[in-house]
Amino acid sequence: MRRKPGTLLPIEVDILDAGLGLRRTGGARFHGFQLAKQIADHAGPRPLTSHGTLYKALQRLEEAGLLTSQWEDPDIAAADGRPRRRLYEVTGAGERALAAWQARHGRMSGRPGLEPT
Amino acid sequence: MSPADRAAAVVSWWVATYSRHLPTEAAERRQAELASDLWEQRAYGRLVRAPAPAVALSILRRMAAGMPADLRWRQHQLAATRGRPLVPGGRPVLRTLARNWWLILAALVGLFEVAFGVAIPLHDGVNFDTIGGGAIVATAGLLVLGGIAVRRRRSRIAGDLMIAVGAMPMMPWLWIIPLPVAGLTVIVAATVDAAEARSLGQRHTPTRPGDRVLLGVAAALVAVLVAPLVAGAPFWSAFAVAPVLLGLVVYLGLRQGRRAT
Repeated sequence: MRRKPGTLLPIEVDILDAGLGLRRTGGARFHGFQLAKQIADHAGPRPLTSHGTLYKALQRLEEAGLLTSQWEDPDIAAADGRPRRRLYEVTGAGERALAAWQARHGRMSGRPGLEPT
Repeated sequence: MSPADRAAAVVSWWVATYSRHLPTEAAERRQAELASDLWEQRAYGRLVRAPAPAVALSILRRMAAGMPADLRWRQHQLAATRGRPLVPGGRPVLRTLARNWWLILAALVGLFEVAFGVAIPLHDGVNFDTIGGGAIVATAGLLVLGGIAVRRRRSRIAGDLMIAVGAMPMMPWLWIIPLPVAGLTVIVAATVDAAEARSLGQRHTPTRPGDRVLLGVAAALVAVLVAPLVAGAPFWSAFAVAPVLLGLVVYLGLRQGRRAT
């Protein structure tokens, strides 16, 4: 199914919403599991987003310019004794796309501070 | 190696399988992202002291639920390497259905139990056994439907347990295969969902005092109905486990309530 330009799928709305929610709590950049947990915690009693759905949607949003991502410094990961994280960040275009989507659908985030300005 | 580590190994194998023969950059990125995700989920599970089997179930559920998307992603990657246009996929309605399929099945099970419970005395004649049996089945159906609401609005774990317990009366009808299959599917899905909620430390979901009263009333109602039937008719001994499990649900609800306040 082809989508109209500018439309967002529910999982994409959730990702952008959760990403901005994390930004407001002090973490501008986030990794996949952090995002899945944020969505599960704040979008009602929902299971963690599946691996395939989450990372496919992240890639799609990045290709659309609504997210950017980069690998974490390997030294930091090595110092913590864990695999490197791919860190994502919501772009200005992503923020505007979410605000436009919410304005169209009359849906407001449950998190403070997301009201369209 | 813990159950969660074994589940992570299964996911790693699956990622390696579906990313085989793809462009190196895309395959390595997906594998590395999943390696990080699996590590983070297990680390978080340890942080909140979640049981390793609960974390393992959550990891496996995420893998299984994402398999169609994984395969579509592989198709897109292969199409991109061959210079074919990519078609963005996924209908919102289908995605919602894919995420909530078991709740839809649970709702159907609950409605069926309520209808069946009402039909038993109407069809087989009004007497102590038919009214009591019908009431138990109908109450179980209401428990499933109530569990869906509790899960949505109050406590995910308590709601899941109510759904699992409420679906149990579907099990004895082994000669009508779809019924126990549907019941077992709902019980397993609800148990896995509760395990995942537990793995995320969501047992602290706020519970209002009204929920405890509701759970207590439901448990007392079923216990009052079941106890004489279990004592008087062997057939109903199949339901003897219900009060015990309902007591467990109430206990969990009360514990959550205490922790939330």
